[in-house]
Amino acid sequence: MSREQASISELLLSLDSSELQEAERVRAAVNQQLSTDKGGAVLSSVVEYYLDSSSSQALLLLSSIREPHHKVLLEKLNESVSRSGTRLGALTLLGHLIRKQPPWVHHISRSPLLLSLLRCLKTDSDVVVLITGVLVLVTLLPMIPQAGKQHINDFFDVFGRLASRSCKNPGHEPVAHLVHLHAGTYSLFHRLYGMFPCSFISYLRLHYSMKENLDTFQEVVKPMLEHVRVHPELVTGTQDYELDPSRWRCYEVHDIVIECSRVSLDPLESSCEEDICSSSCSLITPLPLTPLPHLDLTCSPPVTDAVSSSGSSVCPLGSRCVPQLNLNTCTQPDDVTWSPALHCGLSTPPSERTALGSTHPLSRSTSMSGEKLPSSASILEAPPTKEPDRSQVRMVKDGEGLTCQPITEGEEQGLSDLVNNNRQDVKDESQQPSPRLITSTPTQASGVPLPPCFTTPHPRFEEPGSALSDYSPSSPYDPLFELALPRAAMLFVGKKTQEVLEKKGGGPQRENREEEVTSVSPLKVLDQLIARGNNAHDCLSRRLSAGSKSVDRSHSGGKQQSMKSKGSTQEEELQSLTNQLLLVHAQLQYERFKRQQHAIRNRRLLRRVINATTLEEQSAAMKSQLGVQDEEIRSLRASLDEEQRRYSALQRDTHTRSGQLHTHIAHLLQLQRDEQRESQRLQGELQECQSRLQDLEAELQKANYRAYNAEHQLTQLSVKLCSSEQLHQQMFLLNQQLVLLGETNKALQQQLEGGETQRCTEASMLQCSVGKEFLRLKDNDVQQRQKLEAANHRITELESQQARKDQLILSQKKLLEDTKNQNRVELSASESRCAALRRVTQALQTEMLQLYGQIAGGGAHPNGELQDVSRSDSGALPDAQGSQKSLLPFSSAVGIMNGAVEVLSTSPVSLSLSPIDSPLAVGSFLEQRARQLFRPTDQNQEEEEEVEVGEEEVNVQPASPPLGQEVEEASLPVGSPQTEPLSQAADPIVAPVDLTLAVQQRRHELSIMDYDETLPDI
Amino acid sequence: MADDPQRNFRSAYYEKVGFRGVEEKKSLEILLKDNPLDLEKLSTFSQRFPLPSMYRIHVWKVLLGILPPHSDSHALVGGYRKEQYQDILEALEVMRYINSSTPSTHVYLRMFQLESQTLPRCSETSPPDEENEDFLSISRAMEEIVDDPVDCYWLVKCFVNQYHTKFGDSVPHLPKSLEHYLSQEEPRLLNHLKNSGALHQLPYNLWFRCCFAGCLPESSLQRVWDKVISGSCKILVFVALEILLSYKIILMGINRPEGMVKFLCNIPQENTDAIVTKAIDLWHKYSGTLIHAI
Repeated sequence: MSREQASISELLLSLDSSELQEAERVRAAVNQQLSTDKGGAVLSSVVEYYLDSSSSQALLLLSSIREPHHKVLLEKLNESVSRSGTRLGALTLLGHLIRKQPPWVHHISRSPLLLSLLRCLKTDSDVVVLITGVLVLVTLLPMIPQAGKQHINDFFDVFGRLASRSCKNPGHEPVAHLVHLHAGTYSLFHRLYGMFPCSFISYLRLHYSMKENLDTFQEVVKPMLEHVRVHPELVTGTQDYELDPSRWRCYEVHDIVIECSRVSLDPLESSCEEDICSSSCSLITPLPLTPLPHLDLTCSPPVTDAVSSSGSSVCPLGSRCVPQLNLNTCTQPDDVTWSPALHCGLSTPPSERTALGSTHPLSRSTSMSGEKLPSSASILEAPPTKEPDRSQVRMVKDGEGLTCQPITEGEEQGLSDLVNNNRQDVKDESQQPSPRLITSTPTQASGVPLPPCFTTPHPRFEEPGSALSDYSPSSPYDPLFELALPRAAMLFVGKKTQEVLEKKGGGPQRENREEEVTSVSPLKVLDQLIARGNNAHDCLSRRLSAGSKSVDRSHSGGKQQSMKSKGSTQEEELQSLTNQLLLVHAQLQYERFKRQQHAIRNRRLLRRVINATTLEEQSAAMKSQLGVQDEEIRSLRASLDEEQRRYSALQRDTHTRSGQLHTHIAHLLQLQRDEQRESQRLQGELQECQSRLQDLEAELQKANYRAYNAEHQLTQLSVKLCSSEQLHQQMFLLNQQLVLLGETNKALQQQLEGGETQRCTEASMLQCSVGKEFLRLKDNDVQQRQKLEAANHRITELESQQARKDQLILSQKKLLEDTKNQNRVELSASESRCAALRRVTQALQTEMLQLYGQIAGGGAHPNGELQDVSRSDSGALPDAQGSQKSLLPFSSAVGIMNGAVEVLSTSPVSLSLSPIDSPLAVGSFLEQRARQLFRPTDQNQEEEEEVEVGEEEVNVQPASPPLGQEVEEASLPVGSPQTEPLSQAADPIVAPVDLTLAVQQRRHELSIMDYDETLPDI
Repeated sequence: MADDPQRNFRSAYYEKVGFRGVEEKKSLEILLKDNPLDLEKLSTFSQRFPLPSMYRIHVWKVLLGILPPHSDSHALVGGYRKEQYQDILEALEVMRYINSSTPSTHVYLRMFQLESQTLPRCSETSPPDEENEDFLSISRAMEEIVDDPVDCYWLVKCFVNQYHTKFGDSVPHLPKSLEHYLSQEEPRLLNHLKNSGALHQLPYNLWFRCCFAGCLPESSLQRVWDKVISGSCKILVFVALEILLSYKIILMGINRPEGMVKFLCNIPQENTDAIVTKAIDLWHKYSGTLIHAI
C-alpha cells in the first residue's frame, strides 16, 4: 500500500511534466490506478496533489471519476472544505468538478459536502472563499434542485449574510473583491428568485422587515429586485409546491438556468428566448428567414435583444451596442411593452409608443422605424429591418461624432481618475434613472446616494488611487486579461464602444438617459471593472512595448513605478492580485458554465427550429400536392359529367330500341298464339281419326276371332265324326265277341256240372291245415315273447349288478387311496421319526467322536494338544478304517483307503461338524499342501455304501480296539519319525494313516505356522 | 349349510344376541367327524370363525400336519411323535445338552436344533441368537397354551417350520403393508411416526417374527395364531395396526422413537382381546372378498 502510495505520488509529480507524451502516459497510469482503486487512497492523494499544486492535469483526472469512487471524492472534498487551509482549493476543485456535471452530481445533495459548503459560506470571513463558494453554490443549485427541500433556509441565510457583507464590508476588503462579492450575491439572488420565488420573497419580507437589515435591503437587495420581474410562480405557486422535488423532475440543468434568467431584467443575466420563440412563431415569417434570427440570438445577448425588439436595435456591426440602449430596448420591449400588434404589423399600440417615447429619442426612433417598416412591407421583414438598424447606428455614430467630449464627465462629477470617471458615468446612468422608474423608493426621496457598488468604491478607490496613481484598481487585471479571452474580448469591445459613446455623446445623452435607466446591475459593474483592468493592461503593455519608461506620462506606467517604489507594499499587492486573479477566474468559470448551459439550450432550440423547418417544408409539399390533387379532382369531375351525359344518351337509345323490340315481340306472340290454335285443332282431328282407327281395328279382331272359332268347330266336328265311325266298328266287333262268349258259356256250364264234388273235400282239408298252421304259429309267438321278456329282465339285473360293482370298485379305490394317504402320512411320521433318530444318532456320533478325540488327544499328547487333535478329526479316520478293515476284508485296500478318506469329507459325521473342524479346512498352508499331495486322484464309486456301512459301524461299535489301534499308530510316528518316508513308499495300505499322522506330525512340528490356532490352548 | 334357512336364521339370531361361536362349534364338530379330515374346509373354518378352545389344539395339530387327516392313524402317528420326542430328548440328555433342570423351552430349542442339524457342539454352546430367541418366545407362548410337552414341542416345531416355509417370503413385506393400511386408517399417526422417525424402528421383529409371542397374552395370542396356522400372515399386520390405532393417543404424545418402541414392546395386557377382535374384524373387512372367494 505504501509502495503504491509512493508510486502514485511519484506519478503525480510527473503528471505536469512538460513532455506531452510523458504526461499522457502518467495520466493513463493514474487513471488506471484510480479505476482499480479500492480504499480511495489513490483518489485522496490525487485530490491532495491538486490542492497542493492546483494542477490542471490532476483536475482532468478528478473530473473523470466514475460512480463508485465519487463517495471517496466527496468525503475527501468535505474534509478539505471543513479545513480552513485547503478550503479555497477544495472549493475551486468542487466548482471545476460540478461544472463538468458528472453523473454523480446529484449525490452531493445528500452528502455532507453540501452542508459543509453552506456552513463555510455562513461562517467563513475570507471574501475570496466566499465568492468562490457562492459561485459554486449558484452553479450547483440547478443541478440539485431537490436539495431545496432541506436546505432552503441555509441558502437564504447564505444570501442574507453575503448581502449584508457586501453592504457593510466588515473585513474592509478591497473594493474589487466587493465588486466580485456583489456580483456573486447577485447571481445567487437571481438563482434563488428564479428557483424558489415564493419562499425567497417571504424570506426577504421576513428578513428585511427587521430594522437592522433595512440598510442592506436598500443598498443591495432592492437594486437587485429592480432587475427582476414578477415571477409567475408568485401568482400561481406556493412555498410547498416550489419546494416539492417532483417539480424539478422533468427539468434539466439548463432548463433551470434559463428558467432563472427568464425572470431577470438584467441583459447580462436574462434570456429572452421564450419571447423570441413566441414572436417568431406567431410571425408567419418566410422560411429561409426564420433560422437566421435564432442563430443570431443564440450567439450573444445583445444581438438577441436587438432582434427581439423586431429589429429595432439590431447592431449589425456585431459589437456591443450602448449599454443604456440595451437596457432600454431589450428589457422593456421584451417584457413589458410587447404587444401582438407589433407582430401583426399593425399600427403601434399607443401605450408602447408612449413608453418608448418617454424613454429615449434613439430608441423611440428605432422602434418607430422598426414598427413602421413591418407594417408597410408585412411579409418581407428582414431586409427592411436592416435598414433602420443601419440608420440607427448611423445615428448613434452621428451622436458619437457630435458629442465627442473627452473626460469631462468624470471631472464634472468631481472624481479624479479615469476609471472612477467611467464608473461614475455608469453610476450616474444607473443612479439617475432610478427616480424615474421607481419613484416611490425612499432612496430617491431621501437622497441616499448610490447603490453599494458605487458607494463603497469611493474610499477604496481613493486610498490607492490618491496614494499611488489613478489607475490602481484597474491595474491588477492587466496580466489577467489574456486569460479571459472570448468573453472578455467581447465585453471589452462593447465597453470600448460604450465608453466612446459616453465620452462623445455623454453630455447630450445623459439628460435623456437619466430619466429612464434603472440601477446598473452588479455584473455590469464587474464587467466594467474587468474591462477597465484590461484597458489599463493594454495601455501598460503598449507602453512597455514602446519601451518608454516615462512613468509620469502614462497612468499605468506611473502605477507600475509606484508599485516598484513601494517595495514594502508589494507583497501585499501581490497577494491581493492573486486573490483577484482567483476571483476573476472563478467568475470566468461561472460565466463559462452559464455559456455552456446556454449553448446546450441553444442546440436544443436549433433542433426544434430544424424540426419546425422540415415540418413546414413538409406542409408546403403537402399543400402543393393538395393543389395537384384538387386539379385532378376537378378534371375527374369534368370527365364524370361527360360520362354521365353519354350514359343518359345511351340509355335513351336503349329505351327506344327496347320499345321497338317489345312491339315486335307482341306481334310474334300473336302469331304464335294463332299457330297454336291451328295446331290444337289439327291435333283434335288427329285424335278423332285415331279413335276411329281403333274402333276399326277392334272390329277386325272380332271378325278374326269369329273366323277362328268357326274353323275350330269344324275341326272338332271332323274328329267326332272319325271317332263315331271307329265306335261303329268296335260295336260290331263286340257284338261278335258277345255271341262267341255266349256260346263258350254254354259249353263251360255243361262241363261244370260234371266235376263239382271232388273239389269241395280238397278245399276243406286245405282249410283245416291252414287253421292248424295258424294256431301253431300263434303259440310260437307267445313263446318268443316270453323269452324276450326274460332276457330283458336279465339284462337289467346284470346292469344293476355292474353298477354296484363299479361303485364298489370306486369305494374300494377311494378306500385304497385313503389308506394309502393314511399310510403315507404314517410313513412320513415314522420317517420323520427315523430322520430325527438319524439326527440324534449323528449328534451322538459327533459327541462320541469328540469324546474319542478327547481321549485320543489325552493319550497322544498329554501336553495339551488335545483340542487340536480332536478338532482335526483325524480320530475318525483310523476308527473308520479300522472297523472297515475288520468287517470288510475283501474290499480293496485302496478303496478302503479312499473311502475312509472320503468319509472324512462327505460323511454326515463330518457334515455335522462345523466346517472349521474339517481337516481340509484347517488353515495351515503346509497342511493343505500336504493333503493335496497325498490325496488320491480317483474317486471311489462305492463311496456311499461304504459311508453307510461306516456309519452303522460307528453306531454299532463303540470300538475300543480301533481306538487303541489309533492310539498305537499315533504314538508310533511320534516315536520314530524317520520311518515315515519308508512306510509311505512301501506300503500303500498304511500310507494314508501314515500320511495323516505325518501331517499331524508336521503340524505339531510346525505349530508355529498353524494360523488356525485360535482355540485356547491349555 | 348355508342353504338351510332355519340354520341361517338361528345363526343370525345367535350372532345378534352375541353368542358367537355356538353355531361354529357345531359345524366344527361336523367337520371333525369326517374321516379323512378335509384340511381345506378346516382352514377355511379357522380363518372365518374363532376356534372353540376345546378343539383348538386338535385342529392346530391337524392343520400343522402333526396328526394326519385320517383319524384312524391318529393313535399310531401320535405314538410315533411321542417316541420321536422321547428319542431326541434322551439323546440330548445323554449328550448332556440338557438335564432335568433345563427349562422346557430350551429343551425344545435344542431339540429343534438337533432336528434341523443346527445343534452347536456341546462345548461351543453360544447364547441364543435372534432366530433362537424368536423360537424361544414362541415356545414360551405355546407352553402356556398347551400342557402336554410332546404336543407342545411338535406344535412349536411345526409352527415355526410352517411359518418359515409358507410366509418366509412375505414376512419382509409386512412392514410396508402395515404402512399402507395405516395410511388408510390413520394418516395422522403415520405422519407422526414418520416425522419422529419411529416408523422404521417399530418392533417388527416382535410382531412379525415372533408372531406377537410375548407381546400379547396367550388367550388373545391363540386367536391370532388360529389365523396364522390356518394360512394367513396378513392378520399380523392388522393386529399390529390395531395396536397402533388403539394406543394412538399415547403414541402421538411420545416424540422420541425409542420411547415409542419401548411402549409398543410392553403394551398393557388388559384389553388385548378387544384389540384382537377388532383386528380380526378389520382383517375381514380388508380381505373379505378374498375369504369368501376361498
